Amino acid sequence: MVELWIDLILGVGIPLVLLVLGFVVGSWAERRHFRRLIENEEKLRGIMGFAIRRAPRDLDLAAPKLVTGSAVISVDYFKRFAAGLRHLIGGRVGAYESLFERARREAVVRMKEEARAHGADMILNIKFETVRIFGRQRGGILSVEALAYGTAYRTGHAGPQIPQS
Amino acid sequence: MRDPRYRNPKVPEGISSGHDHPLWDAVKSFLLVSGFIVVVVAACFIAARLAAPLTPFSWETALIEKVAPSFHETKDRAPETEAYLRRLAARLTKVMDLPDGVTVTVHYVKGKEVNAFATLGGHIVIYEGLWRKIDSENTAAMLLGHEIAHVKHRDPIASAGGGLVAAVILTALVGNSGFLGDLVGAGGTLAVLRFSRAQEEKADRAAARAVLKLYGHLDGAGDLFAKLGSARGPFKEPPKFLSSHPHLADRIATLERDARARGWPLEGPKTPLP
Repeated sequence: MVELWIDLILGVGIPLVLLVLGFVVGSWAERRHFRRLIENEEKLRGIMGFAIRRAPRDLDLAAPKLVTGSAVISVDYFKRFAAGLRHLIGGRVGAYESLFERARREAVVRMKEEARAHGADMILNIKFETVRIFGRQRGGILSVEALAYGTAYRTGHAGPQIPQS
Repeated sequence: MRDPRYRNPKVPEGISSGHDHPLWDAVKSFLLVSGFIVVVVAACFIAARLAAPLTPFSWETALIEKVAPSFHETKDRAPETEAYLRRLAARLTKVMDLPDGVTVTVHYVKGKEVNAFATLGGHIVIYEGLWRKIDSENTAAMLLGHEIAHVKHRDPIASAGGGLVAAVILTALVGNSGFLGDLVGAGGTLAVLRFSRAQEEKADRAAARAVLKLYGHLDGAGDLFAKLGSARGPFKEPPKFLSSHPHLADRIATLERDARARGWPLEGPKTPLP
């Protein structure tokens, strides 16, 4: 009888507390992060980003520089649980979608900050890399890293022309 | 300075994520998964229930010999009590219509444990702790009758078979992956307990019938549950959905209700223990 209650507390109670804690803290952090992302993206709107590989011939581009930005975001207990359930039934894993979106957008913000520090106002050939990082063992707490990189330019400068191929 | 042909318009929110509220999303998946578990476990147990009477009893005997070969060699014995229990069991089996080939072997084990169980191969174990609480042959007959009914209904093999298949399926599905695995296991256990409670009710009924046939009345039969209740000490019974057996008060109530509905006498002379 006592064992049953101890089992219940250990087996259900503690994970449940962690779940609630993960959800409350996790969604608070996520909302805050999204608010900050929107703010920062607005501030950096002046720096345009494009995925095209080659600079258009009609653009006057100068001072090319490789810019990068990376962000690592960790999953919380609730997200991991929700995703675990999803793995059983399939479908869109909403818990991880927001995680990757945050990592990608944060990486772009940081890349643009680097571009701004360089005095650039346009980034071309933007690419993304994503890596997942496991905790102590497989199935442990997961983090994701998003890395954004591209070539930053100053536009509209009558400087030396970039050789066009 | 800026070339007006190139622009980065603001992208609306909620394209890549945020379609469903995360909590609602998790609740939906949770309900789907638990529904699935209940269906799987129920299917396994219903199948095992149907297959159990068709399984030769000799398979059960062979299985228990393999799993627990030392089953008959418990050191702490009381040969006289065991002999008495076996005689009583023989009288009960005569009135309980056991299927052909199904036999019962009663074992008496010394120890404080207030428990008794029936397992594969028709082996019934009565612990000293429970036996010491029993003060009349009528109560003893109810106890033995209950365990013999499990053997008669082939409950041990149905539970073992259904449980094994369900466990294999659920483990294949989620593995032993932490909390999720625990949760699926717990869901399975709750479904199993539901079946267990149904088996116990059926066994209680069969035992009451047997006691009635032997003694002509049910006096002393309900004492069994009262004794079990007194053995619990300060800890209450777990909530019903977490119990393998119906609540003791409910078992007494069911017994009395059945007796009244069928006109079985609840009182009569009790036979003392030797």
